[in-house]
Amino acid sequence: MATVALDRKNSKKLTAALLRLGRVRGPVKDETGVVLGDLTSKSDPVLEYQNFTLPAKREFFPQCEAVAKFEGDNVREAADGDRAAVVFGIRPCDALALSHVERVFCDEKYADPYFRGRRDAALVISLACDKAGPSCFCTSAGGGPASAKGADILSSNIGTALLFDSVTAKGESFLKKNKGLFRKPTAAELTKREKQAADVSRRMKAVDTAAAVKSLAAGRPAAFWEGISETCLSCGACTFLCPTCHCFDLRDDIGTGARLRVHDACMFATFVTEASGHNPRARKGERMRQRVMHKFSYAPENYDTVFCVGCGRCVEACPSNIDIRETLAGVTE
Amino acid sequence: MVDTEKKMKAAAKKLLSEGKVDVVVGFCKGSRKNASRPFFAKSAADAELLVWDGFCTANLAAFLPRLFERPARPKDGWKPPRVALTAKGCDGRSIAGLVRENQVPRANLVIIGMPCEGMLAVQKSGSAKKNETARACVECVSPEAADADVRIEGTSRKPAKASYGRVKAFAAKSAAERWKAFTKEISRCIRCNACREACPNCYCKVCFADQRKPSWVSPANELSETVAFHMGRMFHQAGRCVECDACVNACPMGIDLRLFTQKLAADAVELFGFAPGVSGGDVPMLHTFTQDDTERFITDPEEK
Repeated sequence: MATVALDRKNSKKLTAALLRLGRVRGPVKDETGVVLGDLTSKSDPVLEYQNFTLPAKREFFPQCEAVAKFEGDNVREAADGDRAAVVFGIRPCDALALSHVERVFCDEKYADPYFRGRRDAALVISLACDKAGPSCFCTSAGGGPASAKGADILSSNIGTALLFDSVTAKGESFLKKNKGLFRKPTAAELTKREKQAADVSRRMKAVDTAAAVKSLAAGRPAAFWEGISETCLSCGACTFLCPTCHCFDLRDDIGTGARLRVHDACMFATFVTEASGHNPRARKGERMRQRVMHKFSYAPENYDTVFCVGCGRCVEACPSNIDIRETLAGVTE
Repeated sequence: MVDTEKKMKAAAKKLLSEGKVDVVVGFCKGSRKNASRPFFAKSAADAELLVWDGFCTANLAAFLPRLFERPARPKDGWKPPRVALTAKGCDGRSIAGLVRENQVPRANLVIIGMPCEGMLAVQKSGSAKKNETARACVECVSPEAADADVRIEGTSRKPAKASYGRVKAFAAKSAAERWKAFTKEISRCIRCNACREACPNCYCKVCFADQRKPSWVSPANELSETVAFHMGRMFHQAGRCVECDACVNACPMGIDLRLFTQKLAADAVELFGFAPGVSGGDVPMLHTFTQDDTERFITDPEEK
């Protein structure tokens, strides 16, 4: 299906069409900035923002969800939580990350019902980037400011209008059903979109990810990992903000009788601590190795892609300013 | 500051090349705009990379308990390292606390006392608010580290007088209003523990929040659990918080923890005459007891 356009002044009509599908998550303003929140018929989606502080994976793989309930010997599956019908306005990096996480949770043989259910319920409309953040490097991580992968529809904000391209059959069906909303884009609008993506790409510094992947496959000595993790505080800011990190822990909450699936972080000292008290990765260098190798060596080996989308959140959030771009440059030295 | 930086580099180089210390904990240039980052200099060449500018915000004392920690399986003849640290006033106050709590062997530490004009406020995005002094620095009562072994000459900020105006205004609100403000702020927490790990006082081998038997805090994404974590952490800061804002600066969600930890600091000062690293003596506040210690805050929390 060809690209369709919607004048910005009609964006409320789009919101109305989305709301007819059910609960809509989209960019809304609160006192902290623009966050992914519930859109209502009154809200005109905000379209001027760099990216959400929190990654979009949380819409599909929440920080904490009950997978079972129990009372005495009676154990039952937990009811499905709130599912969004639409997730709108996530950046292309988060959409790409979603496709990575999907491959972990769902393959030909097994599908995690919680992730699968949420992903299948939602129409994901990503929004191409019109500027590059200071730590963005998506063009070096398999994506780009207008990368469509992982979304059902890719939208672009070119100022006076929004342009839409369907990516999946689900996306195409939505655009077709609502074709009354859209018009044909002008040639100038299409050119503007191209230029915008090229401009954003140009603003990003390149990182030689491929060389790093090759180098990491051969392994790096312990001293390397000790070195780059020297000032690491072992907090989970990098992993909790990462759109592709997907490790979780299962914990029983005796009080409420719930088995909970919660986000976990390989940078936590408790991450793989065993019941005996033994910790196979007691040193933070070993934990840093796990994080970097998982993303840039094990993932390429198992999924043929790095599990980093270059969103730069970890770079921005690290209290010690440990920078994954520098780490990647460092492994090839 | 250029001159200060030169003198600091020279002092660090001297300590390292004369073999007086194994490592100098300081700052080097960061990769982000408007950022300097913690850096461990281990040679004279490393010392050249040290920087001193308006972005040396982190409280470096947070690294000390980690550096001095005895390894789980120490090699024969293991000795704690000899460490030097470029200390601002806040780092110095934290060091005083850590020494007092036996977390830092003072004999193995060389405090390089830096003149501190206050660090600059930097927003998470790395933009805006340029040339505005950070809040913790504006309110800093001791910009220079006491007890310095090496003193780098230079100009420091004038010490502020502790006024706790914001805390008092907050405390004047009703309990319901305070609760609402507290829980609203805390509700953004994602439990990444950055506040805890960036805090020099949070050196517990196993944090209560990480304990499983019993599990004091459930990982459930519920406000009550998040509140339990923060309340537990904050109460452990009573008479210990040096108001450096390390927790605030580390928080990826921009949660303003200062208002709450500062209430504890204000109480420590006003009820017990105790400001860690500034006044109140060498015994930790909660290790002391006198008959006229107040307990009204327990029985009559609403009493003004």
